[in-house]
Amino acid sequence: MAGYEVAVATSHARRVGDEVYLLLELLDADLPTGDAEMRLVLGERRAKVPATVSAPGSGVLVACTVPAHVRGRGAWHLALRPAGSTSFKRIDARLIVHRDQPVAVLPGPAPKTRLAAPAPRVAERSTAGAVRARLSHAVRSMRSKVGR
Amino acid sequence: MRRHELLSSLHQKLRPRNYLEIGVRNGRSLALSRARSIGVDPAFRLTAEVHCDLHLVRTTSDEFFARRHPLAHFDEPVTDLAFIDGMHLAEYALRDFINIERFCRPGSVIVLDDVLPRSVEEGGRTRVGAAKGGAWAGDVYKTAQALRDHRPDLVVLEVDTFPTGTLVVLLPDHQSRVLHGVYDDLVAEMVSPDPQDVPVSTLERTGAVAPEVLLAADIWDAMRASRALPPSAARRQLGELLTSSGLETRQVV
Repeated sequence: MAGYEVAVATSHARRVGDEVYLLLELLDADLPTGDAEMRLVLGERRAKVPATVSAPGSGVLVACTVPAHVRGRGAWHLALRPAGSTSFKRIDARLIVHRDQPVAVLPGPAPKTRLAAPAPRVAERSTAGAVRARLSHAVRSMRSKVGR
Repeated sequence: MRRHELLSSLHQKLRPRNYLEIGVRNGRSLALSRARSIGVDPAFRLTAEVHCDLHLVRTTSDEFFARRHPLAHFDEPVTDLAFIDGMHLAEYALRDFINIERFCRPGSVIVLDDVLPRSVEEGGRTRVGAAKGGAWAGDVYKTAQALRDHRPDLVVLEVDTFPTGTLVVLLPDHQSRVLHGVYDDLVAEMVSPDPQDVPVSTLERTGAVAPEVLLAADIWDAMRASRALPPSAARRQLGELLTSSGLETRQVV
């Protein structure tokens, strides 16, 4: 089932205090205005927050405030349950809330990333460097044993 | 001078140990790199041949930087040269800048594309210009002003390249959290409906540096040499050099 398509130029997210204010413009969505519910999923973690649907112009706006505990490394997937509906429908946008970087809402389908993120490279060390490191370690170890 | 010529010249002048590119598309700019490189794009479609040790990541830049070790492909989590040419919206470009600066040293160079739209239409947040067969710079130009307003410690140079201008940012500070702190207020200002109020100085490029002037500046050897210095010493030395270079005085601030 296709998700709600989200406008890129008008949708945004920003921190307000400890919370995140999220505003999405849904394209070609025919939704009842009023109270709704937003679901956020990141792996095993889930959160539901109240949302508001409005239609001030030609588009449909969905606004919600995401509480401080909704954060983590990775992208939260979004779904909306409009007023009068019993089920959630996917929103084609993701939300990133991580302390090391600005909050970001990312409209569009999730990218098809295939490779796992690589581990950092282990600094390649020359044979001589490895021998020096082992000798140095042995000397330190010996000194600590004799109490120097 | 076209933007790819400028980027190519920056590769030659800087001889970066590594290169980070946000927004790869067909790989034309990535093909300029001979250094160990990372390219990030959720929908790349390479048509150019690439001649470097490359980690090509199919994801958005925000998700890329949310990784625990985004620059794992490099020997150390530091980038010497970064090119931001992702989503042509101010808040996206600013986020990319903030996320990249965490991995910079004073001698690193961050380049942003599309900061000098030639018309209000080209500088809009919607792709009207592109839909008519023209270029779409978007409102990335707002990023330059945000950097000047909030980070006077940076050297921010608009460069008069074809077609839609380039921003070269020098003297980044990996410890600065200023932009991260003001980002949310800036987003509220940046996300505004078209038409955008593009400054006349941007449209007419009155403050832009000629690319030839930038490339001829006597700074590049020192920038390369600064990689061997502790960041504080490199910052002091490069700061003095860039002040005396006169590059910034050409800018309308």
